[in-house]
Amino acid sequence: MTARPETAPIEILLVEDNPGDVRLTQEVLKEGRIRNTLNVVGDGAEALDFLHRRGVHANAKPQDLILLDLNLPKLNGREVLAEIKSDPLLRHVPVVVLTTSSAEADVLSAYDLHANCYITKPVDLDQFVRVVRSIEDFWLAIVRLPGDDS
Amino acid sequence: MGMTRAYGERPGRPSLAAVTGGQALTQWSAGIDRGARGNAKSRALVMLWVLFFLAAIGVAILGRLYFLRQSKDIIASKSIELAAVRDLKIEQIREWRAGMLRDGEVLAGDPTLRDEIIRWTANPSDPAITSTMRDWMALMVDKGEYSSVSITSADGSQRISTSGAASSTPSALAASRAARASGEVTLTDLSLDPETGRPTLSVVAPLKANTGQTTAVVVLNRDPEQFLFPILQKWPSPSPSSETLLIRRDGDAILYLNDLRFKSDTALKSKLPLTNSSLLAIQALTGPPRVTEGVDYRGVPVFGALGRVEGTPWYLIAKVNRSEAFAGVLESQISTFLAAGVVLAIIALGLAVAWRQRAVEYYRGRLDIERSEQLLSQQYDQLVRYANDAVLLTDEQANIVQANVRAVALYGYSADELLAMSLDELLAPEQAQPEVPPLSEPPEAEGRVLEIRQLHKNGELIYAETSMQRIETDGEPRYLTITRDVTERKVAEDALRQTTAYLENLFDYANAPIIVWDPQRHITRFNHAFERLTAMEAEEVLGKDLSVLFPEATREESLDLIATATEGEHWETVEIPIRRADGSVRTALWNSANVYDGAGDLLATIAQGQDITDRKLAEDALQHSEERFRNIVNSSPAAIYLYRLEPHDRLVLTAANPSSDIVIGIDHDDLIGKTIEEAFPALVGTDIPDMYRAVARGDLGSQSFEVPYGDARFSGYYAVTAFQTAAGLVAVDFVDISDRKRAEEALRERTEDLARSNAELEKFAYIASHDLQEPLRMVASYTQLLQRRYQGKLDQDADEFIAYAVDGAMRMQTLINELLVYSRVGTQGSPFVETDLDEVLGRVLEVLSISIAENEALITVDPMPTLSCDPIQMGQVFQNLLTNAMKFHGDEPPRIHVGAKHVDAEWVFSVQDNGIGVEPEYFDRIFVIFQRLQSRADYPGTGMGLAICKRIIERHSGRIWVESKQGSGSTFYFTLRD
Repeated sequence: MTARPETAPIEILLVEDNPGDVRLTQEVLKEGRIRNTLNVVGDGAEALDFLHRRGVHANAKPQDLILLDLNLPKLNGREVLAEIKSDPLLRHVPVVVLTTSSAEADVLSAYDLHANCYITKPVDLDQFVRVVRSIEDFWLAIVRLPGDDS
Repeated sequence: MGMTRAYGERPGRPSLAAVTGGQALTQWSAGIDRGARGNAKSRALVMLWVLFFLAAIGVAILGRLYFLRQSKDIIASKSIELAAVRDLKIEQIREWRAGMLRDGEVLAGDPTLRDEIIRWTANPSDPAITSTMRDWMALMVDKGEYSSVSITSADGSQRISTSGAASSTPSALAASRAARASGEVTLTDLSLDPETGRPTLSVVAPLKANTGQTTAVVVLNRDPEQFLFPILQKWPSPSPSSETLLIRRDGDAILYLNDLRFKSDTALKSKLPLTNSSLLAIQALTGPPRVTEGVDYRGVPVFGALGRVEGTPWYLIAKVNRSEAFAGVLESQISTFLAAGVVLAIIALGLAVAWRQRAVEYYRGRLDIERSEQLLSQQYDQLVRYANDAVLLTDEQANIVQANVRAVALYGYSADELLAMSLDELLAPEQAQPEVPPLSEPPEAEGRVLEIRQLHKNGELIYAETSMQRIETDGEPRYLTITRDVTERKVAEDALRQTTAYLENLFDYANAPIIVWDPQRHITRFNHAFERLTAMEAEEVLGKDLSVLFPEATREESLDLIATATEGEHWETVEIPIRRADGSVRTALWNSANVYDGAGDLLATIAQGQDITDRKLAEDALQHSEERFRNIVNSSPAAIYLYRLEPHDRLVLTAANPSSDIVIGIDHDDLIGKTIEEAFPALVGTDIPDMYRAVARGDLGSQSFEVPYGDARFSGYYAVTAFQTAAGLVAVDFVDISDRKRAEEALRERTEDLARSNAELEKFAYIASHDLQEPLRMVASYTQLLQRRYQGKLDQDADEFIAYAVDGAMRMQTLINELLVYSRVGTQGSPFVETDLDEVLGRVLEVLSISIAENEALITVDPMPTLSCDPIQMGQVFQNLLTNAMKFHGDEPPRIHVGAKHVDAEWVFSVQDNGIGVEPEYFDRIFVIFQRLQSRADYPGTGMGLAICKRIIERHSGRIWVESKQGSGSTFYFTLRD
C-alpha cells in the first residue's frame, strides 16, 4: 500500500446549484485536514460534462470524490448518479449524496443506484462540520482500497 | 319376441293334425312290429325267474337274520346262567373260608384256651393238662367240621395232635411259621395230607401270651370233601355235562383242586401245562372274569363262566359242553330253514299261476290287436287321402315318397312333381328353419309341431303349421309330415298383433294418465302417465280397488262418481282428486268410456285424465297475487302508472294510484285514457316511451333508472322502475328523490372540495416544508458560521442576537422536517407488505441505542407478530412512541414495555412507560398536530410525533389512544388488523 503523497490535493467535484451551500462547503472544507481542490458545477448536465471532460470541461482532471446534491436543474441528482454508476470509467469514483430530504425513500432510491454514502445536509453547522469530517474519514478509507492507482 | 314364439315349437299344444297323425302312427307301428312279439314272451319268463330268485334271496336273508337273532338270545341266556352259577359258588366258597377264619380268630382270642396251652407248654408231660388239651381238641373234631386239630408250642418243641401223627401238611407247617412271626390267623391253601393222601386245608391260629409273645399255634385241618367239593359238584339244574372246577396255577401248569366229573381222583393231582391257550382253565388265569368258549381238560368244546375267588389263588370255572349249551341254537336253525322253504314254495306257486294267466291274456290281446290294426290301416288310408291337411311321407333324406290329395292342392305341384321333390324345396327361402329336427333324431312320442313358411308352386308364401313324426314302414325309417295351411289365420293374427301393439303403445305412452278398471272396481290397466301422476308403480296398484287412488277427504264422493261411470254414464269432464304415493293430492279432469262384451255386459271402464293441479294452483296464486298487487299499488307512497300497449303502438295510461296525485302533482283522472305522449309531453323526443313499450312487450326486463324530469306542471328528480305486470302491460313506479339528489349533490361537492383542499394542503405542506428548508438552512448555517467565526469578536449583544437567530432557525428547520414527514404519511407511504414487526422493532431499538443508553432506559419487548403493513412507517410509530416514552420520564430512569396482544381480529400493541403521564383531558389533544403539553424548555420537541403516529395508524385502518394517570406513567395503544 502506497500512501498518497502529501503534496497532491484530492480532486472533489461538488454538484450543487445553491451558492450558499457551495460557499458553506468551501468554508468547511477549508477548515478540514485534507488538502483538496473543490470543483463546482451547478447542474447535473454540467456535472456529467465535467466528469466526461466534454466541452468547456475538456481539460478537467479526473475526480477523486463527488459530492452530489439530489435536487438539481436539468438532470437531477438521481439521473447523474445512475449515469456515473453505469460508466465503467467513473463507476469507481466514490459518490456522497447530499440532500435536504431525510425521507427514507430518497435514501433507499439513492442506495439502489450505489451511492457510496448518503448525507442529509444539516441545518446545524456543527453537524455539517462533522459530516465533512466524516467524508474526510471516508476518503482516507477509500484511498486504501485496491484498484485506485491514480 | 312375439314372432319367435309364434313360429316356434309348440309341443304342449298339438294341433288336430298332430293328434290324428300321432294316433295313427302308434297303431301303425304296432302292426309293423310283429317280429318282436316272440321275444317279449321269453323276456317275461326270464322276468318271472328273476322275481323268484329275488324272493328266494329275500327269504334266505330274513331267515338268516331271524336265526342270528335267536342264537344270540340263546347264548346270552346261557351266559347269564353260567355267570350266575359261577358267582353263586364263588360266594359260597368265600363264606366257607370266612367261617374258618372266624373259627381261628375265636381260638386265638380265647383266654381260657390260652391259659390251658400256656400251662401245657410249661408242663408238657403233665397228664392232667395233656388230657384236658386232648378233650378240647376232640371236641373240635367231634363238631364234625375239622378232620384233625394239632397244637404246637411256639418253639416247636412240643406238639399235640388228634390224629396222632407227628407230621402236618407242608403248607400248614409253612403257615405255622408265618403265624408265629406275624401273630395273624391264616388259611392255608389246599394240599395233600401226606398221611391220608387226601386234600386238606388248614386254619392256623397263633395263641399269644399276655406279653404278646406267641406261645403256641393251633392248626385246624379241614377236609374239603366235606363241604367244598360237594358244593362245587352241585348244579342248580339237571344237566348232562355241567361241571364246576376250582383251579390254581402251579408253576408252569394248571392244578385242578377238586375232583373232576369226567375224570376220577384228580383233586390236587391232575395238572395241565399252560401252553394250550384254548383251554378254558388257562383262559381263566389270564383274563378278567367272563363267559367264553374253549375246550376243557378232555379236549371237548365247552362254554363256561370264568371267575376268581378273591383272597385266594383259586379260579373257578362253571362250564357246560358247547353241544349242550347250544342245543337250542341248532333247533332254531332247523326250524328257520324249514319255514323259509315253505315260504319259497308258496311264492313259486303264485308266480307259476300268474305266468299262466298272462299267457292266456296275451294271446287274447294279440287277436284283438290284429283285428283293429286291419281296420285302422284302412281308416288311415282314407284319412290320409282325403284329410283336410296335406300329408307327406319322406325318407330320411327328406325326399317325398308319398303325398295326399290335399298336399297337391296346397302346394300346386302335381303328385308326380311332389314325389320328385325334397321337403326342403317347399320351404320359403328366407325362412331359416332351425326348428326342423334332423331326420336321424329319435322320434318323439308326441312328434313336433312347427310353424314354418313354405312356398306354393306359384311363389306365394304359405304359413304352415306342420307336425313331424318319425315312423317306420316295412322297416324303413320315414318321416310323416302333416301340414295345415294357416296363412289366413296368420295374416289375421299379424294384423291383430300390430293393432294391439299400436294400442298398447298408445295406452302405455300416452301423455295423459289412463286407467282401466273392471266392473268390480279393480284396477286392470295403469299407464306410465298414471304412474307419473301418482308416483305409484303399476305393479303396486294392479288388481287393487280404485279407492287406493283417492285421498281420504274426497274418497266417498269420488267413489260415487265412479259408480255413475260404471252404471253407464259417460263422463266428459269430471274433476276427481288423486292421491299420490307421498300423500299429496293432484287434481285431474277425467273423461270415461265403458267397454261392453257382445252380450252387452260391462267388461271394463276406461278413464283418461288431465292433471290440472298446476293450473289450479297457478289460478289461485294469480288471483292472490293480483289482490296483493292491488293493495300494494294503492297503499304505495310511490306514484304508479299502468300503461297498456294498444294497436298502432299506442301506450295508453289505464290506471294510476292515489299517490301519483301527490308525487307528480297531477290528478290522475286527468291522465287516464291518454297516451303517454299526451299525458307527459316532456317525454316526447326521449327514448323513455319506447323503453316502456319494450318492457310491455316483454322484450326488455324490468328497468330502473334515475332521471330529472318535469314540465310546466311539475319538476323533480325521480327514481323510476318500469316492469311488466302482464303481457302488454307495463307499470311505472316513480319515487321523488329530488331531496336526496340535492343532498347527494351537495355532499359530493363538499367531498370533492375537501379532497381537493386536502390534496392542496398536503402539496402545500410538502412544498412548503421542502422549499422553505433551503432558505432556512442558509439562514441557520450562516448564522452558525457567524457564531463560529465571530463569537466574542463582536460585542455581547451581537453574540446574543446571533444565538437567538441560530435557535429560531434550527427550530424552524425541525418543524418543517416534521411537517414534511406528516404530509408524506398519506401521499408517499410504501405499499403494505408482510412485515416481521420483531425485525422492525429491533431496528428501531438499534437506532435508539444511544438515546437508550443516555437515558439509562430499560426496554422490554413482547414477541411481535408478522403483519401486512408499511414497515418504514411502523418503524416510525415505534420510534416516536419510544422516543416520547424516554423523553417524558420523571425522576426515575425510564422503564418501558412494548407489548403485542391478539384480541378479536386485530393486534393491540402497547408502549407502556413510567413517565410523567398525561391528564385525561389531553388524551385527544396530544394527537393533534403541533400540540404540546410541556414547555419547550423542559421537554424539547415539535409536538408532531404523536400526530404522525396517528396519521400512520389511521392509514393502516387502526386506532391509537392513550391511557394514563398523571405522574404514574402512560400506555399508548394502537391496533393493526390481521
